[in-house]
Amino acid sequence: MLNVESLREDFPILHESINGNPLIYLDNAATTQVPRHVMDAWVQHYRHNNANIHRGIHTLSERSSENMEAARKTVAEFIHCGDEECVVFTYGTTDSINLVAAGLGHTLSPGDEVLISELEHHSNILPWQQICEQTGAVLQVAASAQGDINAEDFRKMIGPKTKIIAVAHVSNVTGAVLPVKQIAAYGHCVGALVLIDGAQAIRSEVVDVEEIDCDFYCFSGHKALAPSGIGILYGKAESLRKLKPFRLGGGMVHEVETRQSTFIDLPLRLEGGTPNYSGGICLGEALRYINAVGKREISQYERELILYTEGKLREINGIEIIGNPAKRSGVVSFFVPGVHSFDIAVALDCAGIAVRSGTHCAQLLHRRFRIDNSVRISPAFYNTYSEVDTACHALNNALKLLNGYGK
Amino acid sequence: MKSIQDSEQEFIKNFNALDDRMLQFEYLLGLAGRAEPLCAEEKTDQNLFKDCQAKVWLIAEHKEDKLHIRVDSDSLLLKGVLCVFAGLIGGKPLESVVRYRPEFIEKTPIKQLITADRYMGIHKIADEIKRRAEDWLSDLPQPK
Repeated sequence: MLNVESLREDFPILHESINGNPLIYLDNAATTQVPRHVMDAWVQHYRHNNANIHRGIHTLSERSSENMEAARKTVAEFIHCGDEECVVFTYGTTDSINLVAAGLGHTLSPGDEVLISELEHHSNILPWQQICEQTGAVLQVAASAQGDINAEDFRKMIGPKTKIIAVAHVSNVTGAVLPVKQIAAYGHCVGALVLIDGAQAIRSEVVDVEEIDCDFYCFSGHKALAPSGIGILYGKAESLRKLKPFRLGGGMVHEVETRQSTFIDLPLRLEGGTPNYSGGICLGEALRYINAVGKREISQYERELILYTEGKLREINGIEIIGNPAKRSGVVSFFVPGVHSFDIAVALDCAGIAVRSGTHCAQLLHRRFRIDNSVRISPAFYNTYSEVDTACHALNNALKLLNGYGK
Repeated sequence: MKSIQDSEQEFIKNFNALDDRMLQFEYLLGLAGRAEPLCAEEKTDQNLFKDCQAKVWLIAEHKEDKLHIRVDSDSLLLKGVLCVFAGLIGGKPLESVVRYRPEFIEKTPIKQLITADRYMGIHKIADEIKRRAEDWLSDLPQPK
């Protein structure tokens, strides 16, 4: 059982005051806060160990390289991947997906199909649109009634022409937990490669890439208590080797001649240039922190808290919750007819409450629900039930205010 | 008639005196609530300025050398801010509208309330009004 009040002491920012009110940070789907342990790791690195990695034989370079590789090992264990060489450091989920899409372009022919869902974040739509445009492949988009994906309905969209499937593990708008293991199995029946966008799942779900059996899994460090600018692309070795390297330059070559070069093996062949090694080291520390707190305990607490949040929201007049997923994780979004979500978010900010308003980079999904914008609440394990109560009370007051002036 | 700049300084002083974020927010909501909305037929694509998060409609005309402007938005807060802008320049000579550079957003907490993206959006609207005022001025018969 989590001792949330005690854990909150690990996050200095949670004690900030905003507009004269204690901060209630409920925008964790956008980014999570960073515990002292991770901040200390960053300071430790720059105070005592900083040097570029894999590029020098001096002591600092060795320390920096070892710490980066230790982080890679931590990531591999965190996502239940047996081979740390299948863990590639990137700059985030968007970067990882772009790397895969660009890397697989050479495998697509006109008429091939790439299958995504309506639930996707733009980062898991645009790279596929581009690669389809470049190769003549066709982008298929699975509908998401209720803001969820039904495995059987999804399977009907998979056929012999399906070469790539790319879906979110958890929707960043409806919080729907997609049946990724089944989707991967269906995809493999036709020989398709399956990429799972784990940005929203990495903290609130227990991720096991070997059980899911996906070809690629990616996530961002800043949604798992690490700083921004670091992410992970996991891939099965044979799938990663299919990727034509996208980031070309130092650190990934074996031999360079005038007109051709050969690349070294995984994972470094996909990490051209100086990586964000301090970010990687901090990501390792962040995942170790999550492990120390308890991954399953975090997952259970967050699942219960988001269901509690949903229940409190349903008690407020005028609120329409987006989607009705079979299983919800981490996120609940809503809209109020006749009230702009921007106004709601500003009203809450006046009370020190941080939520997100807009389309959350998921315009396809908003179009499905025929709305222009919504408010998204995404608590994490360091949020309390009392904070959710306060936020819902403030929301109720905000709606009374806005409805009053809007008449 | 008070100049746009004098009216603006008075607004800045009074708004800053509110000194509480929620009061300031409510003040702008109040302006929006009292403003006459555009009717459905006036909310055309031609009158629409599309911001990332909210829609803004603007009808600007001139009668002789004076500017007349009406605004609406699906965000009450943005409508309120635009009402401030419309209140400052509405009924004023086109020449003074062309010379006017809005300061009321930067010099009050309105900038923090509406955030950077909306702030850029409102400046684009101000620039567009200025451009139209310049065009109208150049079309007006010049004194001999």
